[in-house]
Amino acid sequence: MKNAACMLIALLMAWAGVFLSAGSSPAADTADPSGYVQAYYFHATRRCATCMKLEQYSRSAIETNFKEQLSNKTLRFAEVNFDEPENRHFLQDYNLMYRSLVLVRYKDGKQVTYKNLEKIWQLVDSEKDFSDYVKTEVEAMLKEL
Amino acid sequence: MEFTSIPFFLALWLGILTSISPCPLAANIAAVSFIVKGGGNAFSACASGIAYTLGRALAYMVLGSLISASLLNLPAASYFLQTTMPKLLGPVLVVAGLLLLGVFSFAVPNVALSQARADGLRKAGVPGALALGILFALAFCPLSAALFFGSLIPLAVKQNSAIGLPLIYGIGTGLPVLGFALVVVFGVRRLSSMFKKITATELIMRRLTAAALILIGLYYIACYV
Repeated sequence: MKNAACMLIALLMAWAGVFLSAGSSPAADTADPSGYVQAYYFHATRRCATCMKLEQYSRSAIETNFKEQLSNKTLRFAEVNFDEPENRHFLQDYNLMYRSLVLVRYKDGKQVTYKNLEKIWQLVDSEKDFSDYVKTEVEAMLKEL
Repeated sequence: MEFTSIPFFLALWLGILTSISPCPLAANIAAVSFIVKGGGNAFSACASGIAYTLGRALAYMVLGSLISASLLNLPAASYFLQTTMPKLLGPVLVVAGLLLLGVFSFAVPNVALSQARADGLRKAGVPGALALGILFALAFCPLSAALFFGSLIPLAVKQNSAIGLPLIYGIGTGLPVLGFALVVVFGVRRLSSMFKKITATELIMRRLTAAALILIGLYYIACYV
């Protein structure tokens, strides 16, 4: 009888632990981290076949390899059309001359550094190499957070 | 203008790569059509094919030297070359097609050549091909912008060859078009001699070429204007 009571208490405590930890994770997800990496895929209104491939591979490489970082917002991904007048400033901001995937590191709301992943055009014929390249570069920038 | 053979071949290869990619396909078909024209005259096709290639080389050379002299804001220049320049292609091709059909004609200004030679070159379509080469080179598509600004210019800067390597790159972009045009010309000549109707085949080819130019021109107008 005493053993059964002990087991019941242990079970209740374990359940409470699970409940509490489950309850605390959404709070961590919604909190805005002070530092994060923003990945931008820049394109124009006119899309060529290679441009569509670049866009698809970029999105896929980030969404597949960084699910956790995307959900806790330490990594964010956005597709930006630089033909839109309000986005035209990005051309000068990141020295853009063609469709590009750019990683930007922010700290306390301010941009600290950025990197244009120049090799995406060379790797567009192999999705695996493309994904490995993006993964390595994103991981390197996430480490700096 | 000093460069070792590796950057030379790399620049040439980047040019060929630019030309054989699907991105400038419509422009290349138009260029081949323009160079071939009636198709029967190999000299005319060779002369205008070389002029087209030189036009391209000249355009990239000027662009390369402007960039090396830091006279261009690169993002703004690249954006202009990808958005505004392609808008000119459509109307120019439609006009070229109408000229070839003989709907209207205009006089090309005389350059410092003997009258007979100038007439010969004009008849071969050399000034037009040169102008078309310059225009097509400056109408960037996304891939050519990436290859030119992302690969060729860094290579040219590294090699301290802002004129030489863009020139080689330009020749590379013209070579596949020139080669394909010559294949078509010899094919047409063989076809003409087979049917023993050179004049008739030339006339049909000329009309087909004009139709191709007008259709590609309309395609560009629909896409960009």
